[in-house]
Amino acid sequence: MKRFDVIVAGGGHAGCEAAHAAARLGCATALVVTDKSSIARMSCNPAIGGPGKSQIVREIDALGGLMARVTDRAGLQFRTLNSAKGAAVRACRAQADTIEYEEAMREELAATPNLSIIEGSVRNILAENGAVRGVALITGEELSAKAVILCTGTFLNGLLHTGLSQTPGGRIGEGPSAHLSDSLKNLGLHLGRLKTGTPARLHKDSINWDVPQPQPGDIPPPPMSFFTKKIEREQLPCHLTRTTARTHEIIRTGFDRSPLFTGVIQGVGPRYCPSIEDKVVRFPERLSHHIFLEPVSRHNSEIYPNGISTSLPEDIQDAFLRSIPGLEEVKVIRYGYAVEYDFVPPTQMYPTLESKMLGGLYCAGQINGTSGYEEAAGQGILAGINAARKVRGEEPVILPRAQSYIGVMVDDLTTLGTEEPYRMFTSRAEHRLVMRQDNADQRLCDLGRRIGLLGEEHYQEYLERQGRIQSLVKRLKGAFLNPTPETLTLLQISGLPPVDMSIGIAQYMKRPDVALKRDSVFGDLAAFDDTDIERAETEIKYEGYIARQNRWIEQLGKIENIPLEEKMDYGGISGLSVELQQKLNKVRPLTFGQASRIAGMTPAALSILMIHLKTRGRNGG
Amino acid sequence: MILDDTIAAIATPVGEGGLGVIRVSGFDAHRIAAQLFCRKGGKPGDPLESHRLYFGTLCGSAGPVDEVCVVYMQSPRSYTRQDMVEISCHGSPAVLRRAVNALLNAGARMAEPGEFTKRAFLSGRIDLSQAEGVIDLIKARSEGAARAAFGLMEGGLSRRIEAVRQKLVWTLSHLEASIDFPDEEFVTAADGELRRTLTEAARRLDVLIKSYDGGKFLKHGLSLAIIGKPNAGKSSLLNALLEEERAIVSGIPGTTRDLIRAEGELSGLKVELIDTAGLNPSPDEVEAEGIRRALKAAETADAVIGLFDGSRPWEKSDTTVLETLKKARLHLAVINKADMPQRIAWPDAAISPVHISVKEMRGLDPLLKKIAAFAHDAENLNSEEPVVTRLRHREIFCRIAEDLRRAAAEVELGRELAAASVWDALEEIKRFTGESYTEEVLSAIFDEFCVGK
Ligand SMILES: Cc1cc2nc3c(=O)[nH]c(=O)nc-3n(C[C@H](O)[C@H](O)[C@H](O)COP(=O)(O)OP(=O)(O)OC[C@H]3O[C@@H](n4cnc5c(N)ncnc54)[C@H](O)[C@@H]3O)c2cc1C
Ligand SMILES: Nc1nc2c(ncn2[C@@H]2O[C@H](COP(=O)(O)OP(=O)(O)OP(=O)(O)O)[C@@H](O)[C@H]2O)c(=O)[nH]1
Ligand SMILES: [Mg+2]
Repeated sequence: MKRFDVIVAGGGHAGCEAAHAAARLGCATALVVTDKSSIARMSCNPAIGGPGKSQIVREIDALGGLMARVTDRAGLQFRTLNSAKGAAVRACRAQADTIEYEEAMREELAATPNLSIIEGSVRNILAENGAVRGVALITGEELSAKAVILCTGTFLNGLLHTGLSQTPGGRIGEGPSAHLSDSLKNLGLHLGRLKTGTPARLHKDSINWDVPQPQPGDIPPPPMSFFTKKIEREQLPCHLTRTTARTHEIIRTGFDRSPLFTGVIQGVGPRYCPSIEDKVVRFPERLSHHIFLEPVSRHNSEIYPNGISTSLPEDIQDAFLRSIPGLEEVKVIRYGYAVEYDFVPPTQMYPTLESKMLGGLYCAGQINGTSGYEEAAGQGILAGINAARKVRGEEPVILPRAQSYIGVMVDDLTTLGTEEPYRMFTSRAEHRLVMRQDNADQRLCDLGRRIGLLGEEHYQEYLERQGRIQSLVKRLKGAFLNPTPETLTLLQISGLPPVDMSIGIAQYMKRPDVALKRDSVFGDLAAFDDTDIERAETEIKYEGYIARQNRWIEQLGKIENIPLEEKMDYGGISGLSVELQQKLNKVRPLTFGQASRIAGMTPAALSILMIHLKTRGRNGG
Repeated sequence: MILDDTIAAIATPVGEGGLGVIRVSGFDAHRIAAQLFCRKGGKPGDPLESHRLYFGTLCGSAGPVDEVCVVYMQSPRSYTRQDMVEISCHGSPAVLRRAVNALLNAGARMAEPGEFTKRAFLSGRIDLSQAEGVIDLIKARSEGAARAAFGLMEGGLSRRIEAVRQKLVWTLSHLEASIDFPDEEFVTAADGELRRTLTEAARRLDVLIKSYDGGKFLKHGLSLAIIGKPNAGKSSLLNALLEEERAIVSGIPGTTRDLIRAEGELSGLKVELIDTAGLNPSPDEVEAEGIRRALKAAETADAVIGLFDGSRPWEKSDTTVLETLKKARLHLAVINKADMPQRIAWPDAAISPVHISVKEMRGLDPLLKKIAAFAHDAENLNSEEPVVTRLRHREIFCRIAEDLRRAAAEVELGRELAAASVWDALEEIKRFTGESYTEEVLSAIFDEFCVGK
């Protein structure tokens, strides 16, 4: 029998990060994938990033993970969303060349020491004395390991729907993992069912490109990774077109054969990423929905039409696509479909992503009820880190809500669970102004280095940048503007508002109409790159807000971090409602803060809990 | 404090009375009470039906204690939402003590001050501000205070704040949507509308904040100094307002030499009236001290009445009275002796005096109304508007109003900034309702209670 420290099942976005992290942290790691050629496949849209998501990608980068680096290698268009809004909510989004993305990821994994990639399909989890001991493959072969991370995405009992016809599968062209679901149930894990969908893929040459409106990338393209100097390759445009009243009419004629509306699909779909048939029903007043036509790769002719995911029958798909301006003659390469799949409701996990039921078993990615590559990758890296640390006998890493979006996501999942595919939004993070995509390095590089995932070279690069930013901030805070004729002229030339008396530069910069510019009154900025300048500006402009949020975080911290015993039996606490006792026993929060966020928690219940803790402490447990 | 034990306490004031009531709340309330109670024709331990009045005997270990009426209120239909029992005994301190001891021996614990109401709050039956209303109601010393406290307890203020909260949630959803869905086309409210909503919400809080000055007087009462030259009728006015011969009245100028403080209720408002020595321009030594005290009282009182003698011409000492009066934030000029030929020439057009005659008891009603208006905003008098009576609330509302004004300014600056400020305001609202609290805040509030409530 082959022996490993860590086995990762599934080579999607979660699996890649998990395997890379565990292997880099020194564990003999096996990445088991059904099909080596499907590693890092983008099942749906060819894009990475966006609000809430780019923050996660940057966090992965700061911890030493792969997604941002690989995106920069494979991107074919880069944009900053919300660029007109403040730094806290700006978000990079990259269109990825999906073929190059898979290639680049395979290269990264191949270059990772301690990592073996094994082709095979995991059928069973092997357990002994309440702890995992390995996996059995479909072929009957057994692999042994001290920790197993499941990253099998939409494959557990996957069922694909197009119209009323159904095919078992995890993704188009790939079979489902049926036995694994049973294995998990036999271990005592409880499973739920969700659904998601994807649109048809269109042939590039069948589209009339004169009609849709081009959407170019930003110049210069903003890289996703902190450690990418510059993106050199030429960018491709996306295009914008829209559905018409006729489109909606055709869609309605297919409702009687829609698996969604005829009750064939039982799983709950993502509310924030509805299918086009859902949109037509839910927003009857809207006569048109926009569609982004996104190139899938430089190396094929596929176009991904973003905004019209569907599981309607093929004839309806053909008809409604052709009612869209520019798509009159369109040729479909693959029809849209919906996938229904089992997931492991994540309240069964600790915030380390280890399952409470079985020591050493971790779940990450869509299997935990999330949706999206970034969400999957963020969990993957955390699970990989924790599995490796467990094997090595080190303390687990739990990311606080106030430090990262990954922390927010994992706390939400493990504390509240989810009823629908969970997607990240910036509004899920209460500390948004201090958790920006631009300062993810400041938040997590130290941790990444300390646990050994972030390379020394990158860490030095981070320290240098941090040093430059701090010196610039300090310099700006110490400088003054005086309304001398020379200064006033300079201000006018650089398009900045005048000053009428002596004012601190930092103070001046807090005005909304002032931006930190080169070749102006802010002194010699030659030693700083554009990122440094932007970061220094943000730090000064947001100063008051950041101070406010930090105070708040500090106040919260007092209660937030009071530890709760993992093994505590909440059934024994009288005064707590039975419902809450059960919830607490299910979630088994690790801190008081986590307990306070459990749905239905009341101030009363919290104070009972607090008393209980205190009295137990007094009686020596 | 622990919620899972059973507490008991005497709920009525100590002293002889027709009745004395004992309350029991908690998981074992029914068991403990039933075990000690023997209804007419029944036996100890018979279960009690909820919300029914029973008559029988309460027995301790040393035999019968008293003939009592007992009501069992099953959870959640009770004051604390826990199982509760109320026992009405005869109101003798000795009997009540014995009855409570019997309950304690049977397993109950003596309740801490305010613990019943704290349980009602912690069980979610009332919010924190309503619990504060309960204390205020118990302590209300005037009709107005009782009315304000009842409003608070019954949730009038909470509802006002809930309305504000809903506006903020609406605003926040628009702010957040435009941040999280930059590519979506759905229309979020325009900057102008968001700004208006925020400013409007801030204004609603301003109204509440402003009501505090009056609300404070409603709750704690108002001190009112009467100043004027000798013989103006100050002591007479005091007596008339109190409807009691409290101060000596005489035709001899300089009758009152020291401050006279007397409490009364005027138009539902608790008022401490302060009669003072007349401001004699050429005083003797004792008078001089009296005048010093009079001026000091005018300075420290919440409100000042300047009393003038209408039957006499304007004199230099009247000018002193007028100047002193104007220094007080709340003041009233009153001209007395309207029953006599008027010789006074009123010198200040900015102040319009009230005319009265204490002798004939004329003009006193309008005067009382004006005094009451110190506590209510004149136009709000007797209206249903909630009044803020607690400093804690006022401070929270000030912070919310500030958050919202800042948010309104930030809508155009950056919606993420405005969103942060609205978050702050929502957190403050949680402090008001007690959804988020610290142990110190709770103790500070519930320590004000007496035992048994
Ligand atoms: C049809 C469809 C539509 C989607 N629509 C959206 C959308 O609109 N928006 C959005 O944000 N996200 C969407 N996604 C989700 C997105 O693709 C996933 O969230 C993301 O890829 C999840 O990553 P993962 O690593 O958890 O799993 P996946 O990327 O699904 O990877 C799972 C991997 O596990 C392997 N595997 C499965 N079972 C086994 C086994 N037993 N043994 C070994 N290997 C196994 C598979 O071969 C695959 O490599 C969609 C996905 C699909 C399939
Ligand atoms: N005609 C008339 N006489 C009044 C009226 N009010 C008071 N007096 C008389 O005025 C005299 C003085 O009244 P007090 O109330 O003692 O006056 P005071 O202002 O307290 O006087 P000092 O204590 O000496 O400063 C008494 O003889 C009262 O009867 C009034 O309305 N009309
Ligand atoms: Mg007098």
